[in-house]
Amino acid sequence: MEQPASQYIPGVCNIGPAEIRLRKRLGWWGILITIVVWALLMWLQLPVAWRIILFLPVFFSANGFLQGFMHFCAGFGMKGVFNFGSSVGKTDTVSQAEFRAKDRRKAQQIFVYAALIGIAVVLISFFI
Amino acid sequence: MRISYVLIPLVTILVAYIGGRLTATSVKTWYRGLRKPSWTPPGGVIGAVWTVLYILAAISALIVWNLPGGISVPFMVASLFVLNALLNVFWSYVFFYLHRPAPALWVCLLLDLTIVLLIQLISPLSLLAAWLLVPYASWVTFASYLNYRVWAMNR
Repeated sequence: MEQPASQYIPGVCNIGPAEIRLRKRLGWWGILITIVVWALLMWLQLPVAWRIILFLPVFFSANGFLQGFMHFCAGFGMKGVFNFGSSVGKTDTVSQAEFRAKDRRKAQQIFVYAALIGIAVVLISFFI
Repeated sequence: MRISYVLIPLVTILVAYIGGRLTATSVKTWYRGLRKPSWTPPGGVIGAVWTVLYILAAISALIVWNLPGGISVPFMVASLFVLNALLNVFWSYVFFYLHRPAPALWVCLLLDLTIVLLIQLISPLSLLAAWLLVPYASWVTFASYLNYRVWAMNR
């Protein structure tokens, strides 16, 4: 099993086990919300266009899993901070501009991946 | 001036407005004719409570957005706040517009879940912002039970 890095690596890893656990847990909650919303839309027999709202819970869930499995918080990457502490939300600042730029690129990549997953699931839902 | 000071109150007002419009479609007709528990609060009280809750939720979002050190999982907190707003409007749509209390109960439970998740995410960052959402969670729990009773008494 892959072990999370124990220190900050620019553009690769900016969160420790506590932050990773939180993101994976949120990913699972996102899946649950997606399934219930999808089931509700089917139950109510609303027009297919309503399934666009699935984007939000899928985006939420995808962000959780992508950040958790990539060991990288997109929000921290955008702000130039990292956290390997035992509690969530306590951050240290990335000092070098070059490292911050790498983190921003990775953060944008995660954001785009999560959005693409959201769009893909919405499109799939149109045909089910 | 930070954009959040304009955007968050605007979104809150929009959610309250749309929810109010959807409620108005049948609150004096279909809803009035339903059998309801004796402890159902009067319409005026429900409206006043929602107004306070929207204000508290908006203040909570503003506190989180303007934390000096930034926030953990900002994309996720943002998408959860937006999802919460959508579910809030969706409940009014399903209950008052579609007249479907059973699926509305599920929407209500989901709404409560998103508030609990928000409280969990926000509490390490700002206890005040998290506590401001507690009345919202409590009211939605109460509303879920009321929704359940209305469904049970009218099926």
